[in-house]
Amino acid sequence: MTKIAIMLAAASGLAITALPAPVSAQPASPLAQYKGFGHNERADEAQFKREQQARKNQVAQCMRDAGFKYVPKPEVDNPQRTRGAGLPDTFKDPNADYVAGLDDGRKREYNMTLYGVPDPNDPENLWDPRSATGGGCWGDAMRTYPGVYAARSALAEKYAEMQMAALEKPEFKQAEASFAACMTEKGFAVDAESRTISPGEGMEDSPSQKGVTMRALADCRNQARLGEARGKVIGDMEADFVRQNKAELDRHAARLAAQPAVN
Amino acid sequence: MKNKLALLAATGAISVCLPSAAQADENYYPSASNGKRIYMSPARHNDSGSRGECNGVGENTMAYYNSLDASTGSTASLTGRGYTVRLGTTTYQEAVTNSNAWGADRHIVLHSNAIGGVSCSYESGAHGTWVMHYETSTTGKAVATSIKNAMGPKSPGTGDRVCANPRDKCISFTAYELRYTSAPAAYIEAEFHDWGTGANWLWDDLTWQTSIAEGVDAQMGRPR
Repeated sequence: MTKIAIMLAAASGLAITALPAPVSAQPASPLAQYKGFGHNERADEAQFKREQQARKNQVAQCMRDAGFKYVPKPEVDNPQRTRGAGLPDTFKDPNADYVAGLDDGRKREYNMTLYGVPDPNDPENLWDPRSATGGGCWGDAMRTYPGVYAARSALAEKYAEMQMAALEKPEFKQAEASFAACMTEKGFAVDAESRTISPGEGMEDSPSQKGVTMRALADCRNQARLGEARGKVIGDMEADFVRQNKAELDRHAARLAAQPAVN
Repeated sequence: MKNKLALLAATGAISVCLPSAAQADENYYPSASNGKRIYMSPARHNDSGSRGECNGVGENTMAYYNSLDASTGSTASLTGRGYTVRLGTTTYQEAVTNSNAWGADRHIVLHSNAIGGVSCSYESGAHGTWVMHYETSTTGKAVATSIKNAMGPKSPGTGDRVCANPRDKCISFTAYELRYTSAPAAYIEAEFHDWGTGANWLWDDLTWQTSIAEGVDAQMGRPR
């Protein structure tokens, strides 16, 4: 009994530490009222994990209902890996032996039932995830549980474009120029087009250099107050983002509230 | 010549396979989160190991461990910079479904390239880092350019380039992971594995993987 309790406690501890640590410095933003945008990351991620499990359970039931054996596999958090000759177990399909025993016609049916396509690795013949139909059992599960990140996903490109525009604002560009000057002074090369940093001429490019580079980046970020400048322009941008996309954000929030409960 | 090489490379990049999968993705969490999420999607070809890899290491294996080193394990990796990473181990279709459901901010695909039908000593001006983006994605182009600029100088070939997919025909088909991911996406062909120098760099050189993280981080304005 004690052993079971300890195991449960350990498992629970693992689950907690596997969730993201709190966001370091998020500016106040009207976007925080909507779930899934990183303003309450631990709660969002915990909900996502429950939703993902519910989707997998639904897919397994759907496959069984169609007459197939199907075993979903839990996700893996922070596995410890060492560079080696082969791929880790997470690449192994628990259904591989079962599927290998099916004839070609039945394999095709299996994939059609599971994914809605004959081959989920044929890059030219896959399901359109934006479609309101299809996608097999997975498509059905995604429609049943649109999930906590549905709005973030649907608006990802718009958000990214507005973010790019915000990072072109003078207050950020000024801080970025100070940051670049600081890095250059420390001997690093700054790419003018993309703002990427690399070891400068004469600097060793080795794994140990990474620590030096990251310390220099942190020093220069602080010196140039890059984080504050970014927080300001992104905070303003997110206010605009909410104004421009309020109808869609509200629609997603309503869909999320209406999806089946996940425990 | 370059177009011919690109098409040959594309032929080598296509994989057709029937068995499906129900594998699990891997999640990597930072000690201090910046609130941003990156989906890393390494190559998953059915014929990995028989794609002309000069060093005898399969493209999938190289892509997985290089994605892993870009994702975690050092201060310069994505998690070291505050990003939460989900590393795909499933089918291409599930990679897109999972990336979208997970609310990724950027979707990064990592493969290696091949000319096909050449000896491992064959030298070509095409060798280098190729990074693709979907042709209409402005942010996809920006992140592809940023990764190419961070990573290109480290790869031994000099033919580094950014390609709009499918317009530029760097590969002969529309890349599903560029077209159907909700997040702006970049598809990296990290050097040519059917070139001896390139294959050795892909597997033995451990200095370049975090340049992917640098490219992403710079494009996103270094959130912390």
